[in-house]
Amino acid sequence: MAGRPTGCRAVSVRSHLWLRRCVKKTGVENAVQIEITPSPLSLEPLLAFVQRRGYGGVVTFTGNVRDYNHGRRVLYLEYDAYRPMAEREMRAIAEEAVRRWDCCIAMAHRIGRLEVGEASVMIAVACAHRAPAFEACRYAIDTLKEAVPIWKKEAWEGGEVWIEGGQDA
Amino acid sequence: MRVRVELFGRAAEQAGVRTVELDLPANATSATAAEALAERYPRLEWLRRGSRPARNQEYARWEDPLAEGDEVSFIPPVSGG
Repeated sequence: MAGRPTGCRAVSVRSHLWLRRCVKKTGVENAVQIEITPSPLSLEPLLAFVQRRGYGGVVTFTGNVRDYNHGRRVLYLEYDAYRPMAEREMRAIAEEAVRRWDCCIAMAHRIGRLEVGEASVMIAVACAHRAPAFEACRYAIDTLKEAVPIWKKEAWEGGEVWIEGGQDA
Repeated sequence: MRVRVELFGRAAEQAGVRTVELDLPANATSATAAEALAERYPRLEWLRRGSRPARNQEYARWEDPLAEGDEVSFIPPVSGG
């Protein structure tokens, strides 16, 4: 194609081809950032990682600790992880998202004690356009909640229990 | 053979430890490891029915054979996020 692109379609095709080259050149692993940390989470480093030229749609997901679960007032949550396996599983999910949706993705999960209102998980996804970015982000959080070996213990007034499975989803 | 079992969450609390070394027969599987673990820590008997085994940080099957030095774990339904 000679000269400057003149229509939306031309721009779209060009940016898509450029993106494909980008992912191919940098490799799937360079489109992925994973972190499991006891420190408070922040979206800024995740956004800084995924925002690149040609990625026009950026979607983020944040999961916060709720004050009530099943009618019980939550005091705090405590997260425990099989950390090396959890990192591997999160990386596998992110790499699958990159392959399926041509995106960049950063995923962070906090462990340890979290107070009500604090973020336990953050995900940022950047794609060429918004639709695949939403889909990839949804896939990442849903699959994390199914497969990544992390558990939460819920503490309320007068008791505490380890949550196993998606009963609080 | 010797394997190392990693424990988390409820199982770690019940056992009071996060790592257990097990000495198993040569033909041991993930199932054998879970049974040996429950013998030493009876409160962990539920893991054999209520978890998925993992071997060297990857999901495995109960009948998969183990090898000397393996890192073994039992993954109850997860609740991250």
